Amino acid sequence: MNLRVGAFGRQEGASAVAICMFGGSCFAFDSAALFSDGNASYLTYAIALIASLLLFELLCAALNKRGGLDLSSLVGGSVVKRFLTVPLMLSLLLAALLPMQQCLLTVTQYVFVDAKQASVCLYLLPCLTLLCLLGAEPLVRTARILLPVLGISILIALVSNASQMHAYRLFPIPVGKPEKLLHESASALHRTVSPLLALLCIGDGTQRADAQKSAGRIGAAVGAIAVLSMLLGLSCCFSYGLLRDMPSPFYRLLVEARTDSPALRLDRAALFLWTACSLLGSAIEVFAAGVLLCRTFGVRDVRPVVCALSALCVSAVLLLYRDSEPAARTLSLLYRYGWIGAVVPLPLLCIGGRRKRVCAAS
Amino acid sequence: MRRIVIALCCLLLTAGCMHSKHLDEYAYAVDIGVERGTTMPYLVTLLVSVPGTGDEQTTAKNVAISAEARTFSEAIETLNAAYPSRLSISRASLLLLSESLAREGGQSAFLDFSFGKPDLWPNLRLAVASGSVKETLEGWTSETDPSLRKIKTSVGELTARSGLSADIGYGAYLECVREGRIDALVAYAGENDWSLKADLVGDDAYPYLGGSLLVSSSLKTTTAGSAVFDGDRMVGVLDGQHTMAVLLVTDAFVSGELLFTMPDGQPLCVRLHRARAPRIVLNGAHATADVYLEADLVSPQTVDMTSDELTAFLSSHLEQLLSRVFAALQRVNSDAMGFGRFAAMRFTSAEAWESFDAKAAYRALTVDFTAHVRLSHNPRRPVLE
Repeated sequence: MNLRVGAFGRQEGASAVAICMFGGSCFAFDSAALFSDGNASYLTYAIALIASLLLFELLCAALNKRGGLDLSSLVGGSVVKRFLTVPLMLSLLLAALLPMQQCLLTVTQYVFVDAKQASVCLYLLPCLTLLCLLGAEPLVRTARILLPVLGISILIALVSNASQMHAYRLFPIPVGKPEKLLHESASALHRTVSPLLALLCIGDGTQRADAQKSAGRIGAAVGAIAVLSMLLGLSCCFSYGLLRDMPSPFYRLLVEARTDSPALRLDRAALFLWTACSLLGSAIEVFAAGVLLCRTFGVRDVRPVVCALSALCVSAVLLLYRDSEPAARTLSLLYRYGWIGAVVPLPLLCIGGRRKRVCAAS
Repeated sequence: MRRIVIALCCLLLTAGCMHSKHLDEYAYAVDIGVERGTTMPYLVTLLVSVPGTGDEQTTAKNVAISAEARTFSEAIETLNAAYPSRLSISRASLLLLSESLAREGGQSAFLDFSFGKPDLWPNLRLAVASGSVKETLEGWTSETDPSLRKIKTSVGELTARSGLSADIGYGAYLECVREGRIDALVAYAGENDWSLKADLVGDDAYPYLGGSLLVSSSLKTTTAGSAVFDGDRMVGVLDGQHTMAVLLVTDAFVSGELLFTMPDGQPLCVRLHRARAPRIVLNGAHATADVYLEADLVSPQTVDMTSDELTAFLSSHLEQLLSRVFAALQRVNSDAMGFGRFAAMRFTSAEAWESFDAKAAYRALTVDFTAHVRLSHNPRRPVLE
């Protein structure tokens, strides 16, 4: 089989998870819904991350018992479980397209102001297909190179705005409505579980179960530090009333520098770096979806599959990019309920895997 | 075959050259001014940077162009129709409002374009001009600083170094208007006419106020003191010393000099430095505000008091100053000291906070100010000894 997963180490795996997490969490959220009733984005993200890590540990334990390194090992020969992987694939595609859609919005709004959206898409989106065709190993190795640079850009964004950050903007913290907190945490679950899911799809590239597990843990920790520091910095820089009307709040953090600040001209450089990281994260997720589909349904070559999936992704981005009511409503629903496709099939896959192992032993 | 495909892909990257726009096709506005128009609601003035021709004898200069319009976009498009280059406001770093427009209020709706108009830098400096915007901008212009870059930097430095003016960005001003947790304090500028004007508190013999400075220089416009806002409506001015008092409470103060009057009637100039962040505790309708400062005597360098006596004297006078300024602000319903920031901490939902009448609570608020001053040297011995 030509799956082009290759071989990579713990650092590469962790970097891939961290970059997917950053791209998905910093670009892919609905400001109007997230900040409609106060700002608890950092709280809900932390809750979602903990839940994702628990799911990840559960999946690793199930894989360990099964003796496999990737999610398709849990499927076995079951037809039902094969079709349970379909929502997982769609969820990975959704995790890939949502940050791309937001990145494109930011780039066309703030950089290529006079350009048509489709014209900008023409340049950015085919890169997704080319990246996916490279395979997992080049992608995760690129992630490892980009991660320190990303960290520096985040540090610069936070330090240059430190004088404008005030704790009073965090209040009121909306803990008075626990059901809303839970709902937001569930929405955030999609952004935190998808990178770990992508790692589990291509995790045989790490060649060892313990390497895969530690890559997931370290990557989640690094990604969480990056995202939580950005979310907290954002929350201290803008109050929730401003954030809910802000289309690209993380980019706004970059442009808050005063005109006489040395960080003044770094906004475009940082935006392009973050767009590149987001595109890389999306490519990793699309590739992971392709590998899962190939292994589950016995397709021998991943290349036509990832071409088809990236075309699907690109088409969805272009469709959702339209300034129309149905597109906006669809996008809002995807942000809110996209986690269902990622989270619901996973425990079902785990339970089935363990029972089969017990039967085989007896 | 692969090389041909790669070459074809690279050709796609050159498509941008077909609709390229060169830098010299644009004219960049470095400052924006807004005031009431005579025919249309608003008069928008842009100070446009005109580059030099490359000759050593010729320098860049600024040209003020203005248009009356109903909206900001309309003003820009009107000016584009009357100017040889395409105007760009992406490099503007100062937004100047006329005092008459600011006092009417309601201009934030006209100006609330920072999110909808992404090519405008969201944190450009904001200032209020006591007179005509065009004359104020021209009064700042000099041959040595045609882009006003140094003037704008010095406003920030003035605030940090002397604490005698406010430094607020347009994004922060919008937040004050929309969120209602703190009212804006904006730098105040005016054409110098040597006439002394009273501020809101009204107890200074020489109010350090823009347009009223007793100074003679090539620049006709001076910046000092601050304009006080209640929401998006200007309600008064504070001179330099009183602006410093507000900055002490909002933690925007770094260092500055204050003048006191000694018991024997002699003036005492003291340099104050921020020691740590002020502590504000809000308990219902009562608040306590503690400010922490280090003090150095400037003039005279020695006084006939012990350290304890001088510390008590300075603390007492500072507390009185803070109370007078607070009372003046409360009279005009301006929470420039930002007690509303702490009111939100009591709420656990945005709904409850949004239905809370923060201004009514502010009008009923009583505040106890405490100044903790630490002298950095013995007042009976000069610094050099």
